[in-house]
Amino acid sequence: MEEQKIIELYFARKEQAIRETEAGYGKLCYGIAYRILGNREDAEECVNDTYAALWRAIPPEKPQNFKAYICKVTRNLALKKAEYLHREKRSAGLLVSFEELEGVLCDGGISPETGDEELGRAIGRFLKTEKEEARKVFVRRYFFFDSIGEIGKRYGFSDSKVKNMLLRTRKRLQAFLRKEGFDL
Amino acid sequence: MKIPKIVSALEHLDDELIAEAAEEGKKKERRLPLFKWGGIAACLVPAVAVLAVLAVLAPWHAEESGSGDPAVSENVGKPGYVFAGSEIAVEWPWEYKLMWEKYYSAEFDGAEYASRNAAVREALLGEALGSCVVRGEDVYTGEIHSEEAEVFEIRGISPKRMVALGKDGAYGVYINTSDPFPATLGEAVKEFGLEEHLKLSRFSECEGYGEKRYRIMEADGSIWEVLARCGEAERVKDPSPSLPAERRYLSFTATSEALGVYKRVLYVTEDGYLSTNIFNVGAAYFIGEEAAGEIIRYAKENSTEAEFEPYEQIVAGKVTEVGEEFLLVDTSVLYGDPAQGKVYRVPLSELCIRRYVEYMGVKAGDVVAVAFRGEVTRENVVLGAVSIERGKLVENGVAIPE
Repeated sequence: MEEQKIIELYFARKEQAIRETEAGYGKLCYGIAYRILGNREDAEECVNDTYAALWRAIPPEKPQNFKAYICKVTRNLALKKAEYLHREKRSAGLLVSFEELEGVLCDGGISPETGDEELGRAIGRFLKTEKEEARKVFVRRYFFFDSIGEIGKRYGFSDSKVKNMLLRTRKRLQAFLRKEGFDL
Repeated sequence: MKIPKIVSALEHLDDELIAEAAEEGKKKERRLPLFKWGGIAACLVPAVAVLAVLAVLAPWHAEESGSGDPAVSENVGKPGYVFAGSEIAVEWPWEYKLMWEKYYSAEFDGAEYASRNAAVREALLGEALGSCVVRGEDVYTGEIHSEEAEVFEIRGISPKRMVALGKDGAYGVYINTSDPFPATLGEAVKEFGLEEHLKLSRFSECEGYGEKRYRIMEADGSIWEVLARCGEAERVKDPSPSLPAERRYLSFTATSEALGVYKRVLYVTEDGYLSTNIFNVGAAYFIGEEAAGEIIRYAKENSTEAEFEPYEQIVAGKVTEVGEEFLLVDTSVLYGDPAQGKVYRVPLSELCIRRYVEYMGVKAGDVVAVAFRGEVTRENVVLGAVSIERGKLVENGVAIPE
């Protein structure tokens, strides 16, 4: 079903909205949640929470891009859950991609006043200056938390090519953020 | 674990960048070199990235099964065995797949069914219902396969809800995805045979996403009696009130071979909801505060405290022999004092183990980690093995390289 039709179902408060969301985006959500949480039970719970969050949020919200919206919601919920599980020493998932990114921008080097949104928008501006394939590889790695192997398979690149692309993109991102006035 | 700022910031990427990357990538043009290590590495399914697992080496059985490995027991909950950077799901070549892995969906008697990716023993099957033709795609070759499958009732479960599908003594659980889900709790309990197939035993007391303590209850009959009185409880249209955020509730572990679920959850919340993810859709029913309170009180008063139970158990060590029937895994390499280790026997009758061993060419000397859901017998036989990964020894444990 088309995105707009699904959103209309949410606006009409029809439960079919969730079934259609599950049918169309369930695997996508599960993949994101699983890569972050690392086990099926927590991932499934997170996907269910995503559906509930969508139900609560739409309306009033009306996402312009439903697929991106649902990816963000799932990722956000999964990260919160991973943080909680880790705190409770129940964590089976650990985000390996963190370390790579912290090399670009460790928390200690960022002004506390810098908002997530401000930083996220800047990264978005940077990515739009990148070549399409480098941009996609970056987003797959650090937004979707794909492994190197998964990215290679998705785009037909060797693992070493993916690693090199990421390394170069991170370096360019660091330079870009400095140029934009971020205190790194 | 503190989530770095840059990771949180990426949540604010433009939608178009995320949607662009969420699209399918281009397919590899080169033919996958099957039957080579490089081939299988390229075939790893993208859904999995277990990045750190605290492995508990069969600790809980040492006492009850008499395996008598004091070192194993002592390692309960200690983070001494860390597995990192693993990809554990493999898209197997067609000939290595089980029927319910080959055919995700089936049509029978005018309804659509989806595989739950779980096996069910013949002992749990009821009447033969007939047969149907199932079709599936070999993702490596693009070839469409079809074959006739036998369809059986699963004992105590309405075939309108679930059936067993397979052939030659190997059957998988399939769930109806086309008919409307039961509107009342009574219908759901009856049609899915929940009282018979869902033993409510292990649970945790929770608040929000926090689990305060773990408990085990001996008998769940009284809970089903309460639920029987709530048969008219209607399925809530808006599932959000039944979810755990900011509420107190009990979270029961829901495992059932007949239902094809392993360690899912069933919540009973103080404000009167029962909700579960054991079906193909999230299901929540409003049973009322009184009934929920009765269940919660009974469970708390008739249970004892328990340790946290990990999702799966893991035995890791060095392969000493790949035999006809068993893979022998020696854990002594993980101990400072090798005498503390033991040799575990992993049955190769489990297809998920055998296919990995055969296809990946596991041999003596390899370091492996075996996840399992069953028990360890007195003879150190690991029952219910569900996956195996090859890794390498690192300080304090085994790492499974990405």
